[in-house]
Amino acid sequence: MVKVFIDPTRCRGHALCLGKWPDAFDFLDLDDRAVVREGAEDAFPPDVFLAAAQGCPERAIVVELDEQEKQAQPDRRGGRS
Amino acid sequence: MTDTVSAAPRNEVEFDHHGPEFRDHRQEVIERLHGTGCPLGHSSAHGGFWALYGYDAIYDAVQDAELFSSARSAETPKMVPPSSLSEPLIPIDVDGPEVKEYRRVALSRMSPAGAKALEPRVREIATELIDAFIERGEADLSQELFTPLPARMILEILGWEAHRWGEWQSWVHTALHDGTLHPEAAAEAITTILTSIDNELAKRRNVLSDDLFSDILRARFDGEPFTDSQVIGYGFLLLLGGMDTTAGLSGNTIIELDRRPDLRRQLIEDRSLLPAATEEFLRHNSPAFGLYRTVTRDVVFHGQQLQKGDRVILMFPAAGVDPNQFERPNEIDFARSDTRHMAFGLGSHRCLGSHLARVMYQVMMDEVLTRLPDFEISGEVIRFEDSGDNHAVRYLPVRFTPGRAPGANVGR
Repeated sequence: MVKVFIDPTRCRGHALCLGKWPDAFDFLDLDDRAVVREGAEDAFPPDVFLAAAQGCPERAIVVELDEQEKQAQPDRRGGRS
Repeated sequence: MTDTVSAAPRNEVEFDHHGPEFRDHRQEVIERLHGTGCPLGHSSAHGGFWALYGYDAIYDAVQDAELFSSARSAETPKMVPPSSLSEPLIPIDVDGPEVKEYRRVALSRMSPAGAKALEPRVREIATELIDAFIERGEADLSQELFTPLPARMILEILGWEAHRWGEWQSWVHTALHDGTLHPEAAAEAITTILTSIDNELAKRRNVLSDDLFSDILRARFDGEPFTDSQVIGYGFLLLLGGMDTTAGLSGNTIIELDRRPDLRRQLIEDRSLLPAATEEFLRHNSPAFGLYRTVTRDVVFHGQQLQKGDRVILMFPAAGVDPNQFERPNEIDFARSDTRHMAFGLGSHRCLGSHLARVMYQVMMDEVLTRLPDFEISGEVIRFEDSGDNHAVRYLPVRFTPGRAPGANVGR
């Protein structure tokens, strides 16, 4: 289980996350930014959010892994793809 | 990124994005810049400017809009070479929170959902254009598909006469590609475009409708509408952005697919790869060269001493092949996971039309791969002479097995 936050001050509406995972992310048209869909953190594996964070050109997606996930994915945190 | 320590010796680079070397050997030139080991370099061309090509340096510059200003005026010409336009264009020549307010006007039509809603119309135009040449077995894909489709779309979205796309397009091409080579012609084309938009404004001021130009005329900021010159500038920018860039990406892709049958086969066999391929072509060789900024104070930035008033180019396509950011940067690989490119720019000035551009590009590629999958380049590919602003082909002759045009002359 992860917590995912899209920083509204950084997101500039590239919508790459939305394009790739339309059921995990939603888009606020007139605010020109993406948000995480309600319940998506439960419905999707952490890998989806880690990949989205890695693919975000504005580095706006912040993923918080819990202890269990951290141990499961020691080499997936930070760093470049 | 910026600090007070002393700067390294200036990284002088021989570089002119408007010159023939950049047009003909773009990737080699960019590779040479990365090879300096410094993420930015100073060129003495056009009165001197800084080229930012390193991924992280561009990212940092965009984050610091106070240091790297987008404002343009007579005192801060920003562009290389300076534009013949005196008025700043909204929203590209603006800093601060207004950028978002000005962009909001266009967002309902340019959002991901807005762009998707336009897909059927894009498909219809693509079908009509391909119908017109498919039985011939040869065509100029640039002239007959990639150029007219985006041009007609942006004119339809603005609510201007789309059948006049050829005129608008020729002015836009002259304005964008002849700035250094034939500056008088470029200035004249810009004047013609502005006058033509002014004519639209005169016709439309009191006849608002369901189109983007009406949205711009309806917009209010603290109760005030845009001034006439702001309206005209906004329209001008939408034309420039809408007409040339998607055509550039499409042409560059066809050249690549012609050269690489393996890539073409992948897309023909599995069309679900098209979104990933789109991002990879954007990363590898995106057409739009970048945006300009002006440095607002003396500063050491990524080891180089910049001075107040220096002009800077943010070279987004160069960031896409930065070896410090991407593994095997010059290799096209639809399966790569590191696709965090900057082809549409970054920050508050991120390309407003990016979602529509993706829709148009993917529809055109899908239709080409469906209807003329065995296309091959059959003559000389001619690029615009100055590809400093947009690396695009003007002529792209292909031949293919003739197909049928079932939709020709029906219902139109």
